[in-house]
Amino acid sequence: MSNLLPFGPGAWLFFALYLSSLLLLGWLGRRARQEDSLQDFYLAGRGFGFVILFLTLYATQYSGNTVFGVAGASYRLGFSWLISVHYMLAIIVFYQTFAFKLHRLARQHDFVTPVDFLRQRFASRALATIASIVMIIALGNYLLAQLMTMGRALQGLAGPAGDIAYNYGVASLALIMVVYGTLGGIRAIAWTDVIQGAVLFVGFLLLLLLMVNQFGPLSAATEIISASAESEKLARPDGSMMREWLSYILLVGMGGALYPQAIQRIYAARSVRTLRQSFATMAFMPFFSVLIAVIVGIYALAYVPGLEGAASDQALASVLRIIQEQSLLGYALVVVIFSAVLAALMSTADSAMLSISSMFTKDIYAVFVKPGAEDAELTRLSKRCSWLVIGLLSMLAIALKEQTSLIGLLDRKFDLLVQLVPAFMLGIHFSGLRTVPVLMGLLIGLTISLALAFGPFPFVVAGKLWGFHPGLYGLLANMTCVLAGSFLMHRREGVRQAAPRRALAE
Amino acid sequence: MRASTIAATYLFLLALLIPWYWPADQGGLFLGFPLWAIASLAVLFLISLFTAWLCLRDVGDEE
Repeated sequence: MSNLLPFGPGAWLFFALYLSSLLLLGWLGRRARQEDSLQDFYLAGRGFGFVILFLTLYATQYSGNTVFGVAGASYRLGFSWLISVHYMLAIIVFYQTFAFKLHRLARQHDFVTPVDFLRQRFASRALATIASIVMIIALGNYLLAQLMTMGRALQGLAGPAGDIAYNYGVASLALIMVVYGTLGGIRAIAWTDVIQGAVLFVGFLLLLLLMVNQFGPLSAATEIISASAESEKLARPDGSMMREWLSYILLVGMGGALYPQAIQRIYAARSVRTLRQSFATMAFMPFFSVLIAVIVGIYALAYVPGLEGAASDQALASVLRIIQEQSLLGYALVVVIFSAVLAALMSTADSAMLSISSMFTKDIYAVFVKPGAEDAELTRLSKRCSWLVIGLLSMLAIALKEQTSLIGLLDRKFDLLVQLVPAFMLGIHFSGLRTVPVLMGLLIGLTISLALAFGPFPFVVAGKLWGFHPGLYGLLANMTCVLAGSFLMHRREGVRQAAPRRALAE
Repeated sequence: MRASTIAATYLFLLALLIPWYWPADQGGLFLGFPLWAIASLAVLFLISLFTAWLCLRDVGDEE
């Protein structure tokens, strides 16, 4: 957002009120707690109704990247980046393969973390621990990226004091987040998500109205692009890009459905009915959010041409600056949109923070360090863990301020998360799936994905092999191992059981 | 509806979602969107409708 004009005291007062309301909700969430247990802290007594569940899913799924990352990518790639609308819907499609059954099992067996399901289904400590580590790494990376974006968002608004504003931005927003998160747990976070989800939704609609009001209809923008040197950005994606479309739909669809914070919201739903209603509504949200971000990128391409490389990520800020300069109303509306960006960042980051602390406490500490620890002790520890995670990642975000490329390299979370697809999406339906092949498949899938992503292979171009992400090649090997291994084990057990029966018959 | 029918419907819609069938050199705009993008978004809307219908069809039976 460095292309925006610095905000005045009125805008900062608005942000201060907004952030104070989050702290107030944290305090109210603490007052509303029913018991000092992990179930209450992480799942709010499994009582989320439709409105809260829908808005918390919406605010968590749509991150800061949805708002200006997508606009920047659309600026660079044109309409080909419509794929971002498609993959956000793919997440909802893949939820259906396991979410409803998982919700019932979670109630039956009192699951708190995603890995509780794996422990109950496969009875393997090794599988549960590796799955936990994969999820913690993927989420840690995601949380770090959100913290860095928070810093950048404030850096751009502080004028010449930008560098200091980055540090203070990361530290202060992280502090607010950890205070309301540890005060009220998921109850407070879901309540703040209701505000953040509503602000985000209004922000997107406002953004579209502002674009049309300022620049005219989208057709005028595409006419300008059509007559410019960028006209190829209106063309149908070529063969390579279409393979990338398929790759993104599968990778983000499956990986996004396995985000631990989303799985915990599946556990926290009041009933399957609420879950079904929320997913049905979520199926239309890409049209009211990501599609608008793509359209903003197209407007920016037409009216603010010439942004190259990393500067293209400022596409949204560049068009907002034009609106900001026009009138006091334009300025006020940009303040609201900036709040929506902050809402998107914080609502995603706070959920990731809580998920990491729950997995560390329940899946690592309570298994390896202190089995049989009391629930109240684990709840206290998980709060300290949230402070520790946020403290460490905030320091890292400040230390890595200039290292954008490093974050790009680390951003392989979906390649890692999709390796858990057989364990969750197949394991929940097929009782014939065996533990050893699932564990071996997970290890093979992770090795192939990481080797292809980070290895010195000339055939891997821009992080992809023939247009497909490394994670999908890993998943193919993973699935083959799981299915073939389970089939062979099943057959061998069948032969072993049949032998004594044959001997008796003879 | 059986799981295999649901999977086949999604695969069919996925095949239409990616605009491989659209001529690469055919231009034309509608409401500011290229025609291939309109086709892809229309299929996406069908997927949204189908997904919402799948989610809601059993709501009454499960409670």
